[in-house]
Amino acid sequence: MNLREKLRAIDTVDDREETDSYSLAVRLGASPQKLPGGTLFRRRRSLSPGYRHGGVCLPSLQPAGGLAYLIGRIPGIRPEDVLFLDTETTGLSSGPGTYVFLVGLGYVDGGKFHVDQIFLPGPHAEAAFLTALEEALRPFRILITFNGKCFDWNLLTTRFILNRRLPPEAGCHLDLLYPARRIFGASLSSCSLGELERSVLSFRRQGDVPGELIPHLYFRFLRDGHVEALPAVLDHNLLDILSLAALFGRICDLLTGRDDPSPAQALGVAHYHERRGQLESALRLYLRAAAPTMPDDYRVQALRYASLACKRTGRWREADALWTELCDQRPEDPFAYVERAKYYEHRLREFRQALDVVERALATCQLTPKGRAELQHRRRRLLGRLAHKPSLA
Amino acid sequence: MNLEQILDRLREDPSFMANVTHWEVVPPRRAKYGPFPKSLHPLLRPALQEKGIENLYVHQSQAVEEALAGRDVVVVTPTASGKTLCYNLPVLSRILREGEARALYLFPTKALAQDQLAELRGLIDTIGADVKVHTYDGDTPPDARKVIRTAGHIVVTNPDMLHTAILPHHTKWVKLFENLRYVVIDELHSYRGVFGSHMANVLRRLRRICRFYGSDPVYICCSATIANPAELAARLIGRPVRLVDENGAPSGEKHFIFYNPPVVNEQLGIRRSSLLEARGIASRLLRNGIQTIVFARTRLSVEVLVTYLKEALAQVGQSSTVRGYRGGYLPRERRDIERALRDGSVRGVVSTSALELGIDIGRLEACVMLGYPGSIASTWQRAGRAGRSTGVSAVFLVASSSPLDQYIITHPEYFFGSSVENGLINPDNLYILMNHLKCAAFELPFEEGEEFGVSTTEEILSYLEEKGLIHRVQGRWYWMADAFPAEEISLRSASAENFVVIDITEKPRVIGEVDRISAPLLLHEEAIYIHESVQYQVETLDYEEKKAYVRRVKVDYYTDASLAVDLQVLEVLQEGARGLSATGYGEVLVRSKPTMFKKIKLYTHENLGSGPIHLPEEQMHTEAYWLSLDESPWRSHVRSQIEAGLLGLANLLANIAPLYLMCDRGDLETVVQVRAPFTGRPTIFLYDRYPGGVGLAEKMFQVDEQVLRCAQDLVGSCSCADGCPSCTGPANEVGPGAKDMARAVLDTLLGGTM
Repeated sequence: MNLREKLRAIDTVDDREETDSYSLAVRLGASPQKLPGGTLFRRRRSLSPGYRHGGVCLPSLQPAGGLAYLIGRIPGIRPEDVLFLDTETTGLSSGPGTYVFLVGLGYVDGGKFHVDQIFLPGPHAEAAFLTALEEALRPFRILITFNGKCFDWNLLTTRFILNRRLPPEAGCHLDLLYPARRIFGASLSSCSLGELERSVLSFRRQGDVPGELIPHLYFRFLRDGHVEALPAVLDHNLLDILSLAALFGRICDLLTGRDDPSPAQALGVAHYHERRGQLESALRLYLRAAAPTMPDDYRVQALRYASLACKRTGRWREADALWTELCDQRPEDPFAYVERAKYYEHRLREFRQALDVVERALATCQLTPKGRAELQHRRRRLLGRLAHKPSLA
Repeated sequence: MNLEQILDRLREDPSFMANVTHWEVVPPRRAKYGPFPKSLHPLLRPALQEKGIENLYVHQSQAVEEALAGRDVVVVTPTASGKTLCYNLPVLSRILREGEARALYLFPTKALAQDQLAELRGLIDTIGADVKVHTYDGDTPPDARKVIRTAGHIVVTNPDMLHTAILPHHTKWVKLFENLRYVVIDELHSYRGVFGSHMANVLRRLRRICRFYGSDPVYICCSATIANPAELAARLIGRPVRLVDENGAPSGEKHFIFYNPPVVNEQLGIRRSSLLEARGIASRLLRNGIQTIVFARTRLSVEVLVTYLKEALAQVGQSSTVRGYRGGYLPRERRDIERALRDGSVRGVVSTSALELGIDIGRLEACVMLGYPGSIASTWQRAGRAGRSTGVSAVFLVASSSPLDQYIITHPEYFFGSSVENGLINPDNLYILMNHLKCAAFELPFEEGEEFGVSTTEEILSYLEEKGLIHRVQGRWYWMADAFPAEEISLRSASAENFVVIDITEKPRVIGEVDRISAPLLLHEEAIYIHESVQYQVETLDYEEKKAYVRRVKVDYYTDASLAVDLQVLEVLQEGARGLSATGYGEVLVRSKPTMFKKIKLYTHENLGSGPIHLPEEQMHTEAYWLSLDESPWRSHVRSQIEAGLLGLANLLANIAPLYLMCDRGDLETVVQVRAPFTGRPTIFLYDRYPGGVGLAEKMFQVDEQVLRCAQDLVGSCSCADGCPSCTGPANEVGPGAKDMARAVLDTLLGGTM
């Protein structure tokens, strides 16, 4: 053997890498995937057809109805077209120094809910990691995340650019944070996924890794090869995906009327109905939101929306009743006075009554200079009209 | 009367001339032109002609030529010599030829960046080209940012923004970095000392990112007159640059008049207030319609002077033509004043150093400086505000009674004979370098063998790996920590958090801002805060929330607060001995606390009484070097002699140390204690003015032998009688005998004269 061969014989780097990746795969319950630019690890979990998470049967998610409210009608959309995505990262700051080391992908296929996880064994293998991710994203038409617009997707885009690659198109990206805030925000102190999981899905995690520890567990793995804590990190991500999908299911049920929204949820749900032009059901939901058990501010808001929905559907009498109630509830708020004044002046042509309302508003409401000027203008006009039609006064 | 007639009158006025210590006439200079570079885009010349520019001055022509040829260049330009064309022309020329080309303009402050827009957009409009120019700073609205990142041809920003917002998010700026052709660094001379050392490292990071995206921009730097512009530029950008310093801009005759207020009390040596004298000179100029800028050293004197001058001009019904200008004014107010100065509707402006830098206010006829600005370079910079290309201009330096002012005013040869100051930086200061290395690693992984300014890059990276911030694998170093390092370092010593001043006379509204350092002195409760010469009294100061609530008042006094500074050693990091004297460096706590304020009557300046200030003290942890002297040789000396000697020696060290520490005079501060609680002996402390310290004290500890020897040389060779600003300081500041005492101390320390 010459020296070169001798060296090659003792130099076991390649071998070691293979044993390492073998033991890592075993510990993670994942399988290595070798791609140009490195080796990454994939773990796949498939849930049984009847699997329920937070009271939602994930394999039978029917996204079309809910999506129609959330992003508009998508022709030919099937449950298999939707991908739920969540990442684990080395930090919360966005920027090129934060790495995505785990991506969880949830989807329905063949009547089952599957979660595919791609794990990055070290920053050197990122090129391969991104290739695998790009590949995995391809079959889907809709991407659903939680706070992904600001965070996960943003960070993944950064990773692609840093690897001098074109970031994949997000296609249709639905960030559930916004609808969740709208629908559940009124009854919750925070709208984090964890809080939603507890209160909306009534799901309690057991033995879960706290999210803020996750970067450090990954750093320790990189530094010292500590694999022990990693399966728990993968499980944490798995639960995030399940909760994300279940939350989506709950939102769909509320939007499509499969579930009745509580008064606290009704205002948010109504908003989506109104946006789709379903004024009748929106009105019903606004009225439900105005339940006497609800806090005052919330009720007032619901009443305002309800009154406007009445107005737009020509239910003037109901609208007037709501405005009267609003004037009682919020004597300092000019909104209902102005609406009533318009109604009396332009529809009923009851100038005297309209003037009455305007005078009351000027006396009791807190007005901006602009609001005051407008009311005074209206008052002058009404006085003019009354002067021309003294007989009707 | 025109200015010439006024100057003639003054020259014939014995009572005025009795106070003039020097009258320098700088002769007029004719314009010197250079050719339009051939490679300049053909649309630019007609556009310039349309704006009335037929020729380029020789410095413009040379700078444009160099920049177009792809060579880094630094142009040294006096105030208002058309420096902006030196960079706008090559940049626009390139963008006109290459639509995707990008340029980055860096100005030391937000205000200067804003100022650039108007002029640049004017030129672009004349050309009729689709070149997009945007400022990108803390005030840029979030929805505009996205557009600027991808579509802005020229992005105008400041170093702090580059450091925290652009470089650490470079993936959002791909278009800019891929196509970056020019980097413009204006006001180069302001990047001195620690700030400059930070800047050099920010530029190292910029270079790395450009390399990653495959661009290699040309640097165009502009500097006011300093002793070493080419050296400073090269240190900052990390490679040699061409120097263009032949000024081709014409200037009319300039009169530089040194004025020392007359002594009003012979026995006490009290002079008439420089503020009142400056008022006299300025109102004389303004009443004759001479457009005049007055520089004052503090915000307070700015406001007091504006009040006085408005009053003086009220008699001729022109009080509205005088405005104040200083840092605390809101941006829109400042833009208004700048515009009004350019179009001539404002005839007089009283400013702090805020207008010393290159904000475009046109050129005025006269400049009155209330007090010596502190350095030769900035005096010339301010003087440059007066002077048009033709016609006479005048600069009046009115000395205050401070010892430094008195020295300068009575030694005009010192001012006219000395060269301007050097701009020194030390980009390899380990503390600064390491912090930026972290940022750099966050921004892009380090390749094996890659150098970041120093050959020891790898060692520092290994250290950061041990600290668990960086992960090394397969020959690359990756940032691996849950942190955003750029947020952990600030490029400047003063924190950016300002105090807001809220007028609650009617509907509450914000009328101004005051920086953190000055706030305790200007916004303590009962203080009279003057803004645009309107008086307000501070009712409450919410120190936590950094808000001062003020109410409009009309009183016949203003307030002046005093500050007590104390230094305490917390931990000794290293000690040494020098004979029986001791040296050391370590962590210290510098505490400053406003103690009381005086009410001073307007016009007469008599003291109307005083009051206590109840505010928490400001604390700064930093590092200090100290020299504590063996007392035995000085037993027979009285305390005041020892104190004078200490102050003298402290001044010497503060003057010399920056040369060895490669920092700016302003980066260091001294404190002397005749009997220091920590050492029990006469002690001089030299401390780092940056919270936490940036290693200046440690470096001083290592090189103190050289600094002390240099001090010994200097004090021995300085020809002054008993101290001057270049050595131990003016005698009437540090006390008589300071120079001899300092010399004796040095001789004892170093063992005799050489």
